[in-house]
Amino acid sequence: MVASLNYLFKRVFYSVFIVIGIIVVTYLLIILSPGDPAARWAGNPRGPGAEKAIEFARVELNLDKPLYLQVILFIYNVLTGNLGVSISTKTPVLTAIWTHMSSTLELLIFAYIIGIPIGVLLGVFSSLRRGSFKGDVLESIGFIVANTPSFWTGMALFLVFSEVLGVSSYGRIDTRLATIMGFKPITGFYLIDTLIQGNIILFFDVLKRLIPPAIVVSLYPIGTGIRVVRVLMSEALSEDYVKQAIALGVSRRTVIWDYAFKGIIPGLTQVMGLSFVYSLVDAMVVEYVFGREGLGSLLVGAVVSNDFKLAVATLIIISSFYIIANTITDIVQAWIDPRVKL
Amino acid sequence: MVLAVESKGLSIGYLDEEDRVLWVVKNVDMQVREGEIYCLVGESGCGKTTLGSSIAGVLPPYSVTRGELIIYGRRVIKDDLRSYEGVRGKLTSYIPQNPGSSLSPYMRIWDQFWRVLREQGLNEKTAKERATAILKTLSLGQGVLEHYPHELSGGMLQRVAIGLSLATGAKVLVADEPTSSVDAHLKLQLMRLFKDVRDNYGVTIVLITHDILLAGKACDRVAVMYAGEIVEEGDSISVLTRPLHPYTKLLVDVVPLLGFKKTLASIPGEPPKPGLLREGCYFYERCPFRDEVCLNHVETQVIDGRRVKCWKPLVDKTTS
Amino acid sequence: MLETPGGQDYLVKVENVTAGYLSVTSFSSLTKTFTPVLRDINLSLRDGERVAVIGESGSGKTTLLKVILGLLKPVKGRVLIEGLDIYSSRKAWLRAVKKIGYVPQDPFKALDPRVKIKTSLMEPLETSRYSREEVNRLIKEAVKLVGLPEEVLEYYPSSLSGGMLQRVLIARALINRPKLFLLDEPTSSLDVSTQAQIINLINTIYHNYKMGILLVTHDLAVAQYLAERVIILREGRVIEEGFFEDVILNPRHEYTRLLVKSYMMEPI
Repeated sequence: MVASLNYLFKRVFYSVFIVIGIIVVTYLLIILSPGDPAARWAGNPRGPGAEKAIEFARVELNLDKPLYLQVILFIYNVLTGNLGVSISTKTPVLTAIWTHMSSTLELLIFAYIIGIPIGVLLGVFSSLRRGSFKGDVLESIGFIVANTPSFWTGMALFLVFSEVLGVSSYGRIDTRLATIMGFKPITGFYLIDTLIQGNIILFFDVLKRLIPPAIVVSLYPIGTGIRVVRVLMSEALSEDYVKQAIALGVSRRTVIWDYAFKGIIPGLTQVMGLSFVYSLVDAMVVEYVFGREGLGSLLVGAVVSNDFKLAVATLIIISSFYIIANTITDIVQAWIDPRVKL
Repeated sequence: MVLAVESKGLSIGYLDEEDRVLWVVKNVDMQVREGEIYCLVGESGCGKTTLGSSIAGVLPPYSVTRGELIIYGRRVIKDDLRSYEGVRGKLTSYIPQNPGSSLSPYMRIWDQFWRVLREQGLNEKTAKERATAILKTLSLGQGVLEHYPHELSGGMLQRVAIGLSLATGAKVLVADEPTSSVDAHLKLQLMRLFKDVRDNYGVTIVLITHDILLAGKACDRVAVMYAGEIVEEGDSISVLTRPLHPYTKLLVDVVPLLGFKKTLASIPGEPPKPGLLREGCYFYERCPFRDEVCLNHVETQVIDGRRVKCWKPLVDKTTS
Repeated sequence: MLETPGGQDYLVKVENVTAGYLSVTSFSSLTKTFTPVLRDINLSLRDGERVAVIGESGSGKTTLLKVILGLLKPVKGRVLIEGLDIYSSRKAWLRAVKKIGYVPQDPFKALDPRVKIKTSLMEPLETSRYSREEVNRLIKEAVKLVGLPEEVLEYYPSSLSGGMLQRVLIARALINRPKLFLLDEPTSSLDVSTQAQIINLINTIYHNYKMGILLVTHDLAVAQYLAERVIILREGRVIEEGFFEDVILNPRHEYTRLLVKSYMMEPI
């Protein structure tokens, strides 16, 4: 498919529209759900000043204005980062979200940095042994690994690490130690922050708590990687240009990586992009098991405590995640393929 | 006279669903001399592509083979054993029918040349010079190296494909139907190019084609194939002007020629598909000169330096 | 329905046709550019005449066929079949199309692989008012006409060879006794020996029925066996036309000269 720079613009343009759509729908869902958000926002007051307090809350939440205006104001607020203050954490919604999201993202990225290379290598290995015992075994392992529920694997690994290895992998960091040593999160990614502050002890502490959950989260991309790469490589190895490279005496290793593997990168990127999005939900569950304060616990906590603003914002972020990841994947795919003019 | 390629009783086939062997090439004795342009001519299903593939070392792994195939004295096929190590991509190379799909769409032309030239132990600088020099003899500028395949025209891609097979340093080039997707007025140009390549590089070219007139014009020697056998092999002009095998004669008669408004002769029936071996002549059913003896008896005779697989070839019958 | 005086002399008349395709070029998809494939084409054929259109890849010959078959409306000019402008109304097109027997390229892909040969042959007869018996008779006759045994009617396309499939396509094109026989590369996907059979078959049919033949091909030699007049198409334009002998012996255009030369028997 031949496209031009137009494709990039078009793609981003449409995604923005979709994100706005998500914002609108989310808002409407929350507003139109049963119960009175103003009363909840005011803290469900009783007694004399109650009516006034609820009325005050209503104005504050823009609920007195016509619906279309509410929606427009809301979109504006979201896009300018004004997400309000969270009742449950007593901090601005944006900060609350960021602290939790950075935990989840850190886990996801770390897991994928381990997972993708392992999955890909095993997948290539398996594809070269099609029909042989080793290849088929790998394929089955991949299937099992990808489909085992992660909360089970998470709990199992947690137990193994703490009981058998005596290593605590709870939470993100040793909070007592962190407070004593004056650790301050800067980027929100603790691995980086500890290094920036030159704190090697804390760095390894963060690392040891990150590895077990990361292993669990990486199982899905590994399993998926094995299966997808195996299928794509088998196809690629029967392409005309691969056969011709063999005929021209190109070394086996070069044929596998430079000819066949290069050909599957676009398809692989697409699958891994989708897998990353799936893993977001996966990571949220795993974080819960390992006691990390990630998006999962945030969302649950917000809904449970009727923290209206926080809940809405988290929902929007998670939905947008999908759109953004998709768009990035598409753009990366187009960028990699030299036949698509960018 | 050095033989670039020689085969003795070579048969190639594959297994069908019932594990029987379907023979595509049957008992072929072939001799390709060093430095000549040798054509394998025949209709579809005659086995020319398979025979060519066996020379280039690109037979599919599920093939079954018998007999011998020798390339520059090295035995690459001995009955069911095939060994192309050090031959494929080094002594022989292949120019596929569809040059466009034979190049990786993800790499620039230079990168593809580099990966081939690298195998000869050249460093990058020397390799680039070699690639540029090869392209020059094919009338392509150095700029071509920087492009991706989809940015080049069909004609250029064809020459790039030829260039890559030359880059391997191979001494035998197998070209599979190079002119079939080429416009008529460009076919001659392409054939002239092959001739230049042979003259400049001293390579031996095995050309696979269904176009017998092209074979006559462009090749030194021709092997006419039918049903997996070489029915006639010899100097191209004499084979075409004075064919000895009935099939060759009919093949030549049946081609429409410009300016000759005669009624077109035709061969009844269809060319056979790969299958089982038989004792007698495979052309029996369609041969206008057939005889009961032909069912059991086929001889290879050598007449005037030509080999004919017919026990009563058409000697004394002159045709134009 | 437009009928032109004088236009009825011709079986087919292509007048000043320019045709091509639209493609999207810009971001907003609002502007489309027109790429002309055929420019100012003039072509005419009388009853019983045989004309070959010679074109190589990119010449526009496929587009020309589409235009004549009523599948691509030209942006300029018109197409008359027996005086009827086929693009003037759907009715006109339907009337015109009944007079054309079309043999498409690539016999292996032209027939529905899921139905038997006899069903494919019955297709062109569906809109006419023949009875069951008449249809069966016509099908059997058609198959005999092309030299195939009756058994072939019960076969599926996958059991037939290229040559046999081509015969079936010819039979199908002739079943309505068309006045114009339109052939798209009739021998290009066939072996040389089968090609000769098909050429002879077409000529035999012509001698018996004398319908108009319009043949589109890249093969000049094959064309000479099947037609008296030739039109050379290059990059969408007619660059040469006339009787075969004249064009071959006295080509006016350099391209024609090169083309003719490539069919000559001189060694390289």
